[in-house]
Amino acid sequence: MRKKTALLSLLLLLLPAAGCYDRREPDEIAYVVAIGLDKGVTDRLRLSLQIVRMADESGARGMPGGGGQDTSPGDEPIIVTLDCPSLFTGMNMANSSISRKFNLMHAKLIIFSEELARSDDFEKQISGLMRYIEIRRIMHILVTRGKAEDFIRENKTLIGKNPPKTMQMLTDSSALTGMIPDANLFNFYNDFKSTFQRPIAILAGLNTFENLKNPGRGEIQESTSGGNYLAGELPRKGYLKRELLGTAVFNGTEMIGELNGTETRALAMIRGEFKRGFYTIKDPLKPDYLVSLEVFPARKPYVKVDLRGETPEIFVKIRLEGDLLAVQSAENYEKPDMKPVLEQAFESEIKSQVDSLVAKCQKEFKSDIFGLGRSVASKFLTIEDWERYRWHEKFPGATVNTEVDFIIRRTGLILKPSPLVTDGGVHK
Amino acid sequence: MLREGKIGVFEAISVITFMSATKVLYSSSRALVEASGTSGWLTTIVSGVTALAGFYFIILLMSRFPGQELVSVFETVFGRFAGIIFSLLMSVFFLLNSAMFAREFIEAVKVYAYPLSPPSFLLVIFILAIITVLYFGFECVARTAALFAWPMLAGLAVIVILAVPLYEMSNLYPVLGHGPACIIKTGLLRSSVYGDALALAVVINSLQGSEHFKKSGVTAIILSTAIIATGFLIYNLSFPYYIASESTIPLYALTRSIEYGRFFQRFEAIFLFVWSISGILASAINLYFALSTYSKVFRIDDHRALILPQTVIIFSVSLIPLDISSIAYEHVNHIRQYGSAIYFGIPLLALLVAVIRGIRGEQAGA
Repeated sequence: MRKKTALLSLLLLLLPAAGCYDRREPDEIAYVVAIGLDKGVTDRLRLSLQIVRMADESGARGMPGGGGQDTSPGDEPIIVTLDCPSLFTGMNMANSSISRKFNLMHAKLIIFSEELARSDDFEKQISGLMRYIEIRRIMHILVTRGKAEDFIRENKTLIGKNPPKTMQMLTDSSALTGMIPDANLFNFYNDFKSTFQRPIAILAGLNTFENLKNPGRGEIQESTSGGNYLAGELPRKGYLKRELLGTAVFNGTEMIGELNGTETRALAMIRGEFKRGFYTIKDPLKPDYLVSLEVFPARKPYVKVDLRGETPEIFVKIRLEGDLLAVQSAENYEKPDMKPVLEQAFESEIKSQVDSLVAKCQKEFKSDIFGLGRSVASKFLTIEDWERYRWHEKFPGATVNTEVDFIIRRTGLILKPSPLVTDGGVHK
Repeated sequence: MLREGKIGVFEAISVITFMSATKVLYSSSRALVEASGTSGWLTTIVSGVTALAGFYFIILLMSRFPGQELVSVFETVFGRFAGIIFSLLMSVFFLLNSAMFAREFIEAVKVYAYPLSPPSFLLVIFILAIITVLYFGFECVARTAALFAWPMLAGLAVIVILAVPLYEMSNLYPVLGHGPACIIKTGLLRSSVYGDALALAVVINSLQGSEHFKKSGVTAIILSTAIIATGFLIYNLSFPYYIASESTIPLYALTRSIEYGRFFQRFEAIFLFVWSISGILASAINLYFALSTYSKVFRIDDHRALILPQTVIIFSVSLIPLDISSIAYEHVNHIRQYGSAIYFGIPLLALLVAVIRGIRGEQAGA
């Protein structure tokens, strides 16, 4: 009997161990999926919170608020915007109208306005964020051209009904295209205080659809990269105005510039973060035609550092491989003696992109966003010696030599294209 | 005479490893990262080697007094009065360790998991678990430790493997952190992390002879060093040195940063399991050694009579620090830095006195 009582008592102990003080029913919580931060007007910060809709008790799609006080019509995202001294006080202030407790554990995006990111206040906001348990470092960090509040209002879900999944997939496109960086709070914060390199964030914007010119008014670009745009500038129209394209560059604690999609790909290649992307280049033998390739990294970039001279000398070798997607001219680039022609053309295209980006970061931004300082640090034995070297001051004057190595591995569904036919029915 | 039963080598290794290696899961590992920068893993290896040297002196001491446990050795070497003082000092130190494990655990739980629960409520649950383990005696403590040894190792191994995408070799540069002098100095100062092997000398009669004592102690120190060094290595690999010293619980911060796509995130659940089991066991084991030492000093036959009073003391002592800052920066830091004086200093002193005065145990002299 005593043993049974003891066992029962022990089992009863499991109940409080489940944390009765901290118990929260999921429908008592307002889950925030995106946090927007702008400079405030009546207080230091303008905070926008995008809250996920939840099914109510009857199973119908409902609102997180009680008594209809928090309702908003249709499938529009639920957004609260207010001026406040800080994110945390802001959440309390927002509770004056939203009955649920805000929870940031499922927030996928934190969006700063460009105005805030370029100001002294940005440093204060980032430093103040990292301590709170609900701020997960795996959320992605965006800088929007314009207001974060406007971006959040346009941050809608078009396909499917799952906003957190949409937010996550939005930033996952980094691995699909390389035109946005994989910039989460973990990496950003590490680089924010880094002696090795400077931080970057995803560049976001709203597209007004005015860049898609009417017939007769457009002008065909000389570049074939397709990524020579910043967020909000793509020549497109249709449904969502929200756009992620390019990189926000920071020097120390403030944003100092932007990179377009093409530059962002080159950046990812040097950083060793490039996963894959479609490229279009001019046909080296027939420049009026285009060649499309799907490109992957073959190996991590090789970085060699020489500190013997007055200025640091850095050699970066980018190793890529790819598959042929389309050859408009029907040239037989699949042949072993022709393949190098196309490979060298692509190498030269990428090298020029990479060199131009390095020059931009050295001269214009004076910011090592490539992480080259990490390789330089390997030449030092102690932290004191490394910090005395002052890498961030040395970077703009460093000699950076690059090399691109590219090989075509596969040629798609065609191994030998037959020639095109002229109007007269003769093979070209 | 206190009847503690018999345990095997694996149980003994598990007991000491839980006492030592659990420290890497708490805030003191942050202090080591701060002190040593990128070379935390090297520094803790220096501590491990130093502890092995210290344990060698404990082996020498115990081999002079076969059949006697440490409390009895102290009484033989220093005399009854001074022996009691030294033994009680050890008992208090074990008690303090137990209380700090409890408080650190509660503070960390408040920060990371249960922010709204009152500390005293969490502490009561924690202490009830300790009482349950201790009630059934040393054999139960040792077997529980042995039972959880493999799941705990597996849990840590899972964290090490899952965190692979976060590893960045360049985070280990500059490789010597704040320099070789700092590595050696900090390593020597913090050798107390592995000093728990001394506890085996308190229960040496529960082991199957002096060979088992040596084997268990040395293996436990090496295993704990391997676990803690791996913990620091993966942490240093994942966080650059200037960020690494920020986190309240470094390894928790690491597990929170692991993600594999949309579906596999929030791996801290694994860490919570490893963390809570290790914390409770480490605290319970330390408290048992405090009880055992105390019982042997005052010739108490049944340790169970002391469990309740001692846990009340643990409860009170663990609530003395005002906040997590004073625990991390002062109490735990002082225990780590000056603990070697208790763990290795007193046995070394006893060995010196025994050698100088030519004192040997009865069986050794026979």
